[in-house]
Amino acid sequence: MKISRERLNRYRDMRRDFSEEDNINIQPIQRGGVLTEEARRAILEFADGYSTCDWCPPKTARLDMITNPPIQEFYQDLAEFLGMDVARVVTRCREAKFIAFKMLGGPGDYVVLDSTAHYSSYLAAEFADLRVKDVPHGDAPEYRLDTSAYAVKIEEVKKETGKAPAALLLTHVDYLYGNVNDAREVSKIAKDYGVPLVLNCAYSAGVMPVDGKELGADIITSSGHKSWAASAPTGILAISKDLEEKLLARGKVEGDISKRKFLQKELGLLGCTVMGAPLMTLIASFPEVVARVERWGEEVEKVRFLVAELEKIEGVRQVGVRPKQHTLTHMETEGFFLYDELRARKIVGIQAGLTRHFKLNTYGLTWDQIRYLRDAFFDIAKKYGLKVS
Amino acid sequence: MTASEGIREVTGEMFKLQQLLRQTSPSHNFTEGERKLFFESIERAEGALKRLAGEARAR
Repeated sequence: MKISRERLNRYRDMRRDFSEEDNINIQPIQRGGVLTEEARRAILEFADGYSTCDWCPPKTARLDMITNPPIQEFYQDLAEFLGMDVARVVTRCREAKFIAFKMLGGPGDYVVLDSTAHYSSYLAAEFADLRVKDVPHGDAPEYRLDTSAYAVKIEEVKKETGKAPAALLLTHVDYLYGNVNDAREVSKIAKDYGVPLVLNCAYSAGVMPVDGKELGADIITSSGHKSWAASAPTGILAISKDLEEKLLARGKVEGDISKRKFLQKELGLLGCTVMGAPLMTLIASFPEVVARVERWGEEVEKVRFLVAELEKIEGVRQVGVRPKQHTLTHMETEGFFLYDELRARKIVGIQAGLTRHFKLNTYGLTWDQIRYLRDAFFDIAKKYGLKVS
Repeated sequence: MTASEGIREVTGEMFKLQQLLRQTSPSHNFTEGERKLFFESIERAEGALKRLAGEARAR
């Protein structure tokens, strides 16, 4: 089949709709994934298909066995940084959750998860043939998760099935309000019932300090393109020693004629995972990520400043736990057309249309950029006749 | 300097400029330090380009 030149021309010189060099992007899921300079260099260096695999050891042909570039060393450092024992890079956070669920449970088992979990947490459970029970959250305006209800839900599962759930999942920071949930409280419940806790750190690890041992997580999942200054697709699966054998079980299948076996390959990962440029951006940004989590306090200071300023506008209110503990922020307004007005002021990332609710993320913005944002919102509010106190 | 190293040097300096622009967007009100970095980077890129051109002509 031939494709016409005209149609193929669509794929030439592809550009984004805006440039990050000339705008401020406050898209809630994009701030933590903005690449470092080192990551940009790594993309060019390792852009070719299997360029990370030049030195893949033939006898143990696996991504985590490659030491040039230092993938094996990175996996060890990554695990240590997260306060875990073993780490693997997978395609996405949702894949890490799926692998955890699949390897921990069997058909019909339950996962108990928070009701502010991302949709992919539910789908990961479904695809792993598990059922779910979700833990409720409180009402507006804080929507605080009732973490103590994990125990109630575990009891429900035990009553229904005669056994404990296969896993608990807690979303460390939820995508709706940016609330930071109390992992220690849930891990205590998990330990009391002997159920492994999967802590979904898609919005936390990589931007703020996360120590799995301190938080009591058995498994940490995270997202490179959301929070580790890496290109998509990159996800992180970090495991405690106790679960290594179970989660990283090797393949046992054998060809009936060929008698081929794949005893070195990790089954849940289907062998190798992200073997290219995205992995190298994650590695290249790692030194900066290690440094930047130490500056989390200032990131929180910046978002609190901006929220306090925006709430000076008539009818504008922050939704979610107060004061802010995370840079992902949900704001409520009486409704005005923000998108075009912001775009005209070189601010992008807010959904188009009438904006009664909007989310933003200030992660990594400079103080100058925060003040620029504040001034732009004030300017728009005045244009629409809203009072700024 | 080989051609490929020269190209790496130039693109590396361009990435530096890009980062500076991202950190200061959209106003681009450079501090003295940022201004210095910006022009030093351009000078290094110009130097690398000149060396590249010189080597290519000499072949």
